[in-house]
Amino acid sequence: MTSETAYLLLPEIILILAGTLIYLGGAFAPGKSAWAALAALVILAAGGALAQQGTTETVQKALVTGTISGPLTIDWFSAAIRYGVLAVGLVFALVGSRWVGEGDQSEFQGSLLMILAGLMLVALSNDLVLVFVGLELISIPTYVMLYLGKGTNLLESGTKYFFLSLLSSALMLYGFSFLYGVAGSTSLIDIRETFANPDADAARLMSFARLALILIFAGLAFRLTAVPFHFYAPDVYQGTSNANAGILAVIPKIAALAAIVRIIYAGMPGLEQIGWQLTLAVALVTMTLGNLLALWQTNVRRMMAYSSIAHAGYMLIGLSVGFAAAGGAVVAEGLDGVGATLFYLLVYAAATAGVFAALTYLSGERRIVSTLDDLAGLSSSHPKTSAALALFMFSLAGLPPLAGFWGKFTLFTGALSVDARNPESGNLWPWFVALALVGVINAAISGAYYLRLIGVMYFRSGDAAPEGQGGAGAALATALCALAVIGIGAYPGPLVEAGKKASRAARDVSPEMLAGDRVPANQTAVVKPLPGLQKAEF
Amino acid sequence: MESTYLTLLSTVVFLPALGALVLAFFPREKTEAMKYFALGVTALVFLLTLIMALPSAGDWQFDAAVTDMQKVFSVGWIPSFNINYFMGLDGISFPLVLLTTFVTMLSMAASWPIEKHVKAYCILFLILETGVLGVFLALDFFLFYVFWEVMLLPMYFLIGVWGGPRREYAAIKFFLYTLLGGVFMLIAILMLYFSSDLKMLSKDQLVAAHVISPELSEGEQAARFAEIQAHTTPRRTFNILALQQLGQHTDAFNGDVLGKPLQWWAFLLLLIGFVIKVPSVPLHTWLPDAHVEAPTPISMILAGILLKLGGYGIIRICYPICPQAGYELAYFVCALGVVSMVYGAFAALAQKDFKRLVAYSSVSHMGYVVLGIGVWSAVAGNEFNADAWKMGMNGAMFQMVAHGIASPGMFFMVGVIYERVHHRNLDQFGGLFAKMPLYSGLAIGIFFAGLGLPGLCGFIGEVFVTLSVWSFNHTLAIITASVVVLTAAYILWTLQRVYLGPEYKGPHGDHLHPMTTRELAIALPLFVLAIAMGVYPQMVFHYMTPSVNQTVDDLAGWAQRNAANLPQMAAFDPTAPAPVAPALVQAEIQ
Amino acid sequence: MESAVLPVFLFVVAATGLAVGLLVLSALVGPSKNGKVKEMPYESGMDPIHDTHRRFDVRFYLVAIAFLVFDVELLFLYPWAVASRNPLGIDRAVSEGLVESRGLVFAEVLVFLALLAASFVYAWRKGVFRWR
Repeated sequence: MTSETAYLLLPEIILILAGTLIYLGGAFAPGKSAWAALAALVILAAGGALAQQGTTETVQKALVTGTISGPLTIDWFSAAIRYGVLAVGLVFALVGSRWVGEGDQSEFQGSLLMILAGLMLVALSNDLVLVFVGLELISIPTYVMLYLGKGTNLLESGTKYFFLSLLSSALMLYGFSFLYGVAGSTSLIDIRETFANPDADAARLMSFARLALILIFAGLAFRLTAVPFHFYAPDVYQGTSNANAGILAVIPKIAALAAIVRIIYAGMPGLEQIGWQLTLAVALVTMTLGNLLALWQTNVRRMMAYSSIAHAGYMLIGLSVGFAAAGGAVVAEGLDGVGATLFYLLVYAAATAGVFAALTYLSGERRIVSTLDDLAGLSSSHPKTSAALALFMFSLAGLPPLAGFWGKFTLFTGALSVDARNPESGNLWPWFVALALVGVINAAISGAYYLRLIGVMYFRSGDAAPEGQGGAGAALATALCALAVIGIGAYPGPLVEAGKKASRAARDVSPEMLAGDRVPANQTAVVKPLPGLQKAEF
Repeated sequence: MESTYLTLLSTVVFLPALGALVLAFFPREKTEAMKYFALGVTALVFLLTLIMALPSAGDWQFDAAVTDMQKVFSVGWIPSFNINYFMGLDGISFPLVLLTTFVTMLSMAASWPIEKHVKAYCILFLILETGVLGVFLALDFFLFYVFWEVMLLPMYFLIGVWGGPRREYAAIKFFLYTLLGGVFMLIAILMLYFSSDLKMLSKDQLVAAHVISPELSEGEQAARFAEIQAHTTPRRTFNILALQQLGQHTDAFNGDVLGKPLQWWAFLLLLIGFVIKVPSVPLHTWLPDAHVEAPTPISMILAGILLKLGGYGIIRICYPICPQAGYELAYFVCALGVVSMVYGAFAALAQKDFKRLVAYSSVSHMGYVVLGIGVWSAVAGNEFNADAWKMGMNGAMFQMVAHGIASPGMFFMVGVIYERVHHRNLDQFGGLFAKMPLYSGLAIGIFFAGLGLPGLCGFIGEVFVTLSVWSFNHTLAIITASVVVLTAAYILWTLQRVYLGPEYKGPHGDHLHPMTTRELAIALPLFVLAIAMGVYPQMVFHYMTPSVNQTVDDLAGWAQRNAANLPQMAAFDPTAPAPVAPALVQAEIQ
Repeated sequence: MESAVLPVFLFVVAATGLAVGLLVLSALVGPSKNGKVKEMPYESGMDPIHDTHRRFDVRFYLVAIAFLVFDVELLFLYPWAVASRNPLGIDRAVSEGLVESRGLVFAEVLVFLALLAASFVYAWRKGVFRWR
């Protein structure tokens, strides 16, 4: 830890400090609703700090070549995720601006800031320990958050999430320990070097590395809501408040993908085959199951839970292509599976956050919008909100020219870009065509339940219109998301490119990174016996 | 020149969308003004396309003698995926464009009874027109796909909001079927894209595909060609014309996929996408539901225009890009057509709902289109005489236009009566001739056109298709001909139950007042055209035949080049004389 | 099988075998006598005074948790306290370049204490220490 590292962590420090202050302040002035405004300002300030760092020479160089500062990796990948996280955070701070239900607004906003900081740490970290700390910094405030707000069954959903999240963390830690055992270091860049050029010891232990990969993937699959670790999502989303469900649908996915990219995709070269096979199989099952089960739901949050499971499956398509490409399969130039996944993540986050923002806006003191019937006839009682919801649904279903279409387009294009005629990838090709085919069939199936929601809003008349007392903040958040969905749809190019750049930055090791300010492997990895430290000293 | 065409075609496509934008600023209560404005926009677009059909339109004139694409322009849209804003017209698309603008205008006029959310209705209606015109004009596969999907949304809402009692079910069913077809199409598009390579084409082929603009000088063309060849990695393309060249002149799409060439799979995926729209049995079930629930003007558009998109896609995309697959799947395509014809006709016989009957008649009539196109490849063995192919293709194209006139007419006629008596139960009609003689006369005329009575528009296409099938497979031809009898049966029986008989005894009998001027203004042009096209089919053939024949000749050339590698068709007999078309038909297709 | 995996495998087999084996063994070999006396909660013969399923007041748990949190967190200060005065502790880490300076370590400890204080204030304001 050096002062430079501390400076590079400034946005996270701002978030955590402000989060603590908001918690404390809320203990003295619980009723105030200004905490949301403060949290939004803090997020903007953190963004400002990030942008200010971007102007310094060190960071600018780091964005080109990547650099290591202590336990941190500064590169395009971390920068892209940090900006994305702050944008998502801003939306949720606004969503929670008018407080209804259990607990205080300050606790919600404080937890949110902590979660954002944890998420940014995961993207930044060059160390297994820091990854874990980041993930826990997301999980623990999430446990708190799940007991806040107005839901139909807060206690059940909070407790369910708590226990299963612990299980997944344990799985992942178990994987980390195997990884450490193979590589002899917790530093990701050292682990990557060991995997790229394994010495005799590491080569002997490669089967443990595979075990580590599977365990880590399993632990992260819980956060991604990939089958078979998806089963908690519908119950938890249904029981909790709309804002919480939105956070759960978006933030753990970002964390899981960032960690998978950092640890498995970039950190374990040589295991690409098991990587693409695992992600491909999980992707196939996840999207199909998610979409099929979503068809029967009548509770909007439950439906969105299955929708989020299905979208996790789509995201894994890009990862699978990325693994295959990294393992030597030839893909068409200019395409990048992991880049497509990162782009898709943003597109998904915009639409999903928008849905929950709109649902929050529609709810009120008496009733929170939960079932499809609650939305009946919405087009006449709340024309603007229902238009926004329709927009999000169409985007999630992947209709051009909205953002969701480009997300799916880049993913499926990636899967089909595996070169059939090249001997290196010819035998993988049918698998990826099948993946794309199952993907598009799923996209068509998903249309059914997204359209059902639109149908309820537009084609039916309801007896009791929703209250629509979610506050101006939630309305603003909805509008922001709608703008993002339209804007990305109209002009996807720069963000697709940013995704590709981020994925390349995560994967490539530059000499600058190896030469960077990192603690040599033998000092962190091996606990040297300190000869003088004997009993006598005490 | 290209910039003139850019302006011209963009205006045609986006004028309705622009109109929709203007409509958004109309005050909510001015419903009448909105309807007039939307009608004005559709009329303007129709006039624009009509001017193109006139011989003295200068730069704008559609030159019927030109067989290739004309009015072509191409500008970059999304360079990172080689996607262009690339459009053009030929004899296959132009008649359908004209049909679209014409039927859309009449449907807008038929929309006057719409009272609910008029503003949203007009906006969606105009966006729908933009989507359809875009599909017909797009020459970039990606652009084609985007317009294809853009068309979906307005249609979904138009059925879902303004439809009948089961509108929600019908709208979702329509949407899901088309979306499924769309995503299959997307996969096929991407498969073809990633197998394409512009470097495999010669300079002349690239110029013909407008990858290298023909307007450039010889030297500039050579420079562009050298630039393309200089790349080490494949040059992918979404250019439909270039993909056609690749499919017909190279083996780009012949890579092996699970034991079949890639183009076999691409053809199948595209075909599924298109026959859902046509629709062919067994993917037709969305159509009766959508028609029954949709309001009258939307039914008119659906039957008159949207179904044609499927046929157009098969002609423009499936066969020219994947000729070998088309050849191998010939029996499959023909079987789809014949089964649809027979099934649609029998299903129509069994209907009690007037609109559902007309919907099934559409399934049956569009079966002729698929069959006519299918015959194209089915007689591929007969490689030195392409007359029968041309006849089948021309018949299919003519059938599309004729059905585009007759079926909106039939749906409108059903709509007129539904508005008065608020039911469509065939058993409760009868005796309308006595109460509404003018309406009944027009309706009987239009229904006869649908039946395929000689002298009316439905006849020509059916005869052409049947004749061309004869040269391929006698059994299929006999089935095809016998469907005419079934068609006659259900239409005549319907006419008898609705218009003839002693007296109307159903509900709301006192509301059976005569047609209004507005209704007459919609029905009369359709009626007149149905007769005109039947008596003087050359007015349609004049525009379409050169391009259609060119397409067939290209494929015949392909078949000739690859004759050695192709399995012989079962029905092929090289000693048999080439089919001789009747003199009238011969004259028309030449 | 790789030699590295073998010991682990043997260990797993031995551990499972031992656990299952002991259970099976006691079931097979152990004497089994059932009777009314054996079913009693206390085999000594004492009758229970009342129902054993008694609930404790949730406030006891809160106090216990608060105690645990603050007590365990204070434990983290011991390593720092020991290392700060030991020549082989922070000084050596600084000289080997593992840590930038002594001051930074001190600052980190202060941040830790500040967080602890903040959580104390929070808990106090939330009424955790009040016996309601």
